[in-house]
Amino acid sequence: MALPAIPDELLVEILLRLPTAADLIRASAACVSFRRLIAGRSFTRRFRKLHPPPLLGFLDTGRLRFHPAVPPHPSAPAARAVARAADFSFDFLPSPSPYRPWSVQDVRDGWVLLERPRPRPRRRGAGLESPSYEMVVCDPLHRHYLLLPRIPDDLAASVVGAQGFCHEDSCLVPSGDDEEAAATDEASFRVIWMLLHPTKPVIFLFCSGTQQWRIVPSLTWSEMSPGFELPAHVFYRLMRHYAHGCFYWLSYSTEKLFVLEIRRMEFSVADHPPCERKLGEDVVIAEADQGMILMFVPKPDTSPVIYTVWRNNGGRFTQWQMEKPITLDSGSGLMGAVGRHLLIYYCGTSSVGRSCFTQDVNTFQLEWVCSAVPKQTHAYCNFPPSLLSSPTVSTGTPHADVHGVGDDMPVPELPEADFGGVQGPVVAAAARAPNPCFDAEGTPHGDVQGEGDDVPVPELQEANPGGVQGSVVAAAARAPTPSFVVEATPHADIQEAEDIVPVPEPREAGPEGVILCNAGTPQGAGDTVLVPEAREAGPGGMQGPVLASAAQAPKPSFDNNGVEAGRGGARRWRWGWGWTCGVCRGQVAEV
Amino acid sequence: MATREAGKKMIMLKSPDGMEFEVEEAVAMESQTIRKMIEDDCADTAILIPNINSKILSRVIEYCNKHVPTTGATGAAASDTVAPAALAEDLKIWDAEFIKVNRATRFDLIQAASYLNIKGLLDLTSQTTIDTISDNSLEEIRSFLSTKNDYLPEEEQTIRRENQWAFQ
Repeated sequence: MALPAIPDELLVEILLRLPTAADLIRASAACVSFRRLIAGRSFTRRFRKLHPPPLLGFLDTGRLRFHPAVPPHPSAPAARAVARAADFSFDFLPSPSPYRPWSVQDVRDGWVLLERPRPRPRRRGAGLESPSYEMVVCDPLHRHYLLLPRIPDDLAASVVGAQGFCHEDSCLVPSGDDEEAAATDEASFRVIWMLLHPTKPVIFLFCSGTQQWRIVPSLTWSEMSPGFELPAHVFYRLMRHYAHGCFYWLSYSTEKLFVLEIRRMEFSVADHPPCERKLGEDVVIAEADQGMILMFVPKPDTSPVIYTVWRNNGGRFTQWQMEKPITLDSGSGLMGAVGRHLLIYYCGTSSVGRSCFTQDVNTFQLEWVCSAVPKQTHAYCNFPPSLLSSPTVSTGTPHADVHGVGDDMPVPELPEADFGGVQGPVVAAAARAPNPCFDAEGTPHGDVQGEGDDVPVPELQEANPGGVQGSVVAAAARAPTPSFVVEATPHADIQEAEDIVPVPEPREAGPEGVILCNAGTPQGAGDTVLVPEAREAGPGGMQGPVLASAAQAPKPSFDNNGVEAGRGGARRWRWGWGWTCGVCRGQVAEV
Repeated sequence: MATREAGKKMIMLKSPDGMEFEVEEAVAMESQTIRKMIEDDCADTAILIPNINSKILSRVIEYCNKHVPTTGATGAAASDTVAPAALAEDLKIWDAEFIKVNRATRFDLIQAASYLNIKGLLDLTSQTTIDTISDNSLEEIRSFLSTKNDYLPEEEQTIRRENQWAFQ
């Protein structure tokens, strides 16, 4: 019996409940319209909200290697696909330097925050640069990165330079339900840079959406907790944890810990559970039901290690309740937690061998993840490649509003942004923006409205030092009604499908020139939009945020100038409003 | 509630095929859509529920009757002696029985739950559908969700090749 077609809104409700990304991908192979629904932006956002990204493995931050989950772990196929596609050596980051290597500071939702010392010795006092380290946030799966801008001196000076500081920490903020996160999409992130001053904590928050740092107001220590003074030597080394919408920082103190409630960005001082802890020994905090948290504190000098377990309401809390302590097998210990899963390592002598496990704090279900125990590690949770990106499907049948399904879109990739050169913000926004508008110094060039258009856009090479003054935007993909404005005389208005619009190729944008990278926004499947390739922006650097973008560019239909797109195959996973950046040595994505 | 002394406040729901259902306000308010109408005072007389025939509407009301919170003195007789956990278990069994309907009815229920914004019913009906198809072949998924494969053969190959891990 043939039923009438199910309306899209009901299909969405049904498909959203598929348990894993693999199920989604299989369902998307059923027919074109399923694929369109599943690849849609609002769908992926809702799916992410309903299903937290699975643990795919561990990132060894010392050796920069990824240890994927292996069978029989349910994430094993996805983890293997990620291991193949991603670059966890971070070779794609800008201006590599043996003297200033990037080191991983935080990993969350597929993003990695890395830091390295600034090129010049930091000056003390008023001229201090903020943040004190150079920071970059990247997505190793799609090889996008964003160099975080400096905090403007006037903003920083009011709080940083004046007081000196004891210690600092920086981290990625989990996306939450709060308005700020809701206003953005899954391809956005936030970074916190926190300083502990003798009088108060100072928190700066960077949003990829606004491209700016802002300061988060906070109380002084004594306002938060009467009588509390920050003993610098005790809060020297901060150990950060996250559970149920709050960051927790512990240090050597067994009296106090710090809490930052993310939704309200409210910093507070809380009590440590009433128990001993060996100097510098870290605890583990996991999420229990109903917003409660569980803290696992290793008892000093016990072997095998005994953990006392403390339950709390979370946030600034009321009181710690002691639970039954747990004892792990000899040779094992806790290395952290992801949500309600404890991460357990085993280095014992039994036949199991060195391994990492997860254990659910509610059901106590134990799952083997992989047979590696990296010393410095971060759990890597993400969706597998291509759930949100589009495969190289080109039906030639335009699907309006397909958000990249089947779009062919090579977009610029702008690595190697050096310091100095770029003064304005450099944004390569790819994808997804409605009505993108690419502006290159000059008069309008072509308005591309049709579906299935072929729009080669200029290729901008060799932006010299100092070259970029204005904003540089490489936008790509997905936006309806793309509009390209390139330096040139009015060129063409294209309203019909299948038009081909060649645009000039301004090369060698010399000093004072503007680099404008953009990519189109195909509305339909089968669109081909060639975008500029901006290469070799010399030394010079950038003051503004540098966003580079890659965008969902499966299978570009041409090879720009025969440029080989480096690590070819892996690029097919690009998606998002990706970015890359900067002063660019771009290559057309190749798949 | 203010109306408790005078008996429970009743609401009249009308299906487009002319049937009328008198239900307690609390039951009707399981639907967020109806709740909003009531709160906005748009529900003085009968509320017409478009697009939902009497057969489906009566099932929906049956569901809401079962799931309306039984707080207060007038709660269902069973609830004061039964522990919440047991009650939840009971509801689960009831739900499982409730959802044993044919495919067409289930989609009608999904549609009704979606329009009336009854989260529990939407979860139940959608999840049951997913459970039905999750281990099935693509062909069965297509047939169950009434769609046809409109990919070109090479496109389907491409999807499979690029997402090989998901098809293992």
